[in-house]
Amino acid sequence: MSQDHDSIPVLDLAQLEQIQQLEQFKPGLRAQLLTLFEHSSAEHLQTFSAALAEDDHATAKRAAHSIKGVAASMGAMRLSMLAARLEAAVGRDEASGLRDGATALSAEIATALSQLRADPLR
Amino acid sequence: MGYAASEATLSPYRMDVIAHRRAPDCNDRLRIGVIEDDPVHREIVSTMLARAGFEVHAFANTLDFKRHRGTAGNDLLLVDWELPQETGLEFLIALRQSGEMHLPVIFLTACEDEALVVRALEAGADDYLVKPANPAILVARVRAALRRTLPAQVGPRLEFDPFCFLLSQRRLLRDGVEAKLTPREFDLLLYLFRRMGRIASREALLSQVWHVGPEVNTRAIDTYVSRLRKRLGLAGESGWKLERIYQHGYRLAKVEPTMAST
Repeated sequence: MSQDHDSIPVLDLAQLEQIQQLEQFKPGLRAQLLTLFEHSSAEHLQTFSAALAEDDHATAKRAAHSIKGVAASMGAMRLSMLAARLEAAVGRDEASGLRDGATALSAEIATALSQLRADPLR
Repeated sequence: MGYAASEATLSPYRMDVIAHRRAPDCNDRLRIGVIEDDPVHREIVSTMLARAGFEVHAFANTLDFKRHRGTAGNDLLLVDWELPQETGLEFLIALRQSGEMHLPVIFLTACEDEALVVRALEAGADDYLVKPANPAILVARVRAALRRTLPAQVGPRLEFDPFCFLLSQRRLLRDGVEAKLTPREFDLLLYLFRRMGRIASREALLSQVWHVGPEVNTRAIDTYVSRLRKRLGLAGESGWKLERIYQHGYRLAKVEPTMAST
């Protein structure tokens, strides 16, 4: 990944604080969201990879869009931005922008999950 | 917890229905339907609204929403723009074309694209929100949309000429004269008037007026509706018509004077 990418914080602490506040109303929410995020991002990543392999750019674009959304909701800011770039690249049909896209997404999902599990607000 | 949550799951993590029910001591049970395919955002938004005191029913797509209960019983819908199968825009256009003009709809969008916002508003959306939603803004926008569409409540009175609900006393006046109602009749009538012109499903009435689940097999609603219709002139004589909508529920609507005797 580029230097610019590495300089972006992995998590959006403001979004995590919102989730933490909701946790007071619904105990266990954070753990539930983490599970949803893990499964959902894995599913969309698989769809993205398969769609790219089959040159199905419409499906790949939708999958990247879904990762962008679920990541933003969970506070995984850097993952959301990466997915947004890939969504735009698929939309513009840019082969160079898509090269190694799935690998980069997979790595970023792992990073986000690792930091989310560590609970940076604790 | 202030509510109980139930989930009908089709797979271990894709929740197609999330129902947040508030504590039974809450008085105004405004119901919000959330249609959002992002499971994390769906859960966050549902929790935000439940925390603000709303009853929330959440769905992953519009087909599940329609299968479950449709628009009947909802006071407002929050709809994601990018949905699988049927997009939020297609859903909204079909909703308005079906004659459901008064149900407020707020769109959820991933980005504040001017053209997209204009399309949504022109198609009949009442407002929009950029995801991920800020809790304070979300609740404020929902309340504002509800204020614009629910009947105005002036002090403790709610007026629907010739009827007037005295809310704190739980009494109903017709042309200034008290019409004696049982507490259940009062609750049922108030629920229907607050949603005038819209269909109230049997499930919604059982849940909101009788406080029981839809599995309860009862003819009570029919009996109460029939009695209210007769006693209060709700077959049109009073300028209001309470009718049964086959397979959907009940609707109380203002009728034209020429229809009043039908």
